[in-house]
Amino acid sequence: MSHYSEVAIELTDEGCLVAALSRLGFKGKVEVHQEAQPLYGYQGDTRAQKAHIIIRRQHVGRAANDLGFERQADGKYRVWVSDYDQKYNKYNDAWMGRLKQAYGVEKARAEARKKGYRVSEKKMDDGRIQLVLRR
Amino acid sequence: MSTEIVLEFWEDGQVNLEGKGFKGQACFKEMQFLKDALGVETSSTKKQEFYQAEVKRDGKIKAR
Repeated sequence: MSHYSEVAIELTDEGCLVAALSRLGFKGKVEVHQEAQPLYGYQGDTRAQKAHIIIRRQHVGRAANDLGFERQADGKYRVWVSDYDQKYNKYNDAWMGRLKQAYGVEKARAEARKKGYRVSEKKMDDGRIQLVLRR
Repeated sequence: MSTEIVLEFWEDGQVNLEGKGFKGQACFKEMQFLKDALGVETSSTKKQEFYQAEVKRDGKIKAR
């Protein structure tokens, strides 16, 4: 053994973000666009925000608005979640944490496979997900 | 001793990485690609093994 590190996860990889959303129950419900597209509100109204990765409101929840991820100039995704959906549809900080968890697992698996590692995954009782990389 | 990297992803979006079986800076080098891919490193703690000698390929000992 030699050292520990702690890392705060950032969303930068389109494929891993889509895979993470699938892990959270949105498999087959995620739109991916090369150019950012408008987001729509619960009444079908066009919002000022645009996004490259979108979950339309009918998949988000009751009286929900579109959920979007907009790729910024620095490559990081900005998350668009309405105040209503944060409060009443539970797309709050806890959900964002679980999204980053799922994203991190997908990203680490993908990068480790490129390096020739064998990867095993285990879900722990306390909610943690453990990956072990060996080669 | 075989080497492995253990990652623990928490529900708050933090991840802990631990290198096992590495000697010296090999651990830093081996884990860097994961740190680069995942985000921003917020803390790092060296363990006792970090300060152990690292055997170079030519058989000489690199002092630490």
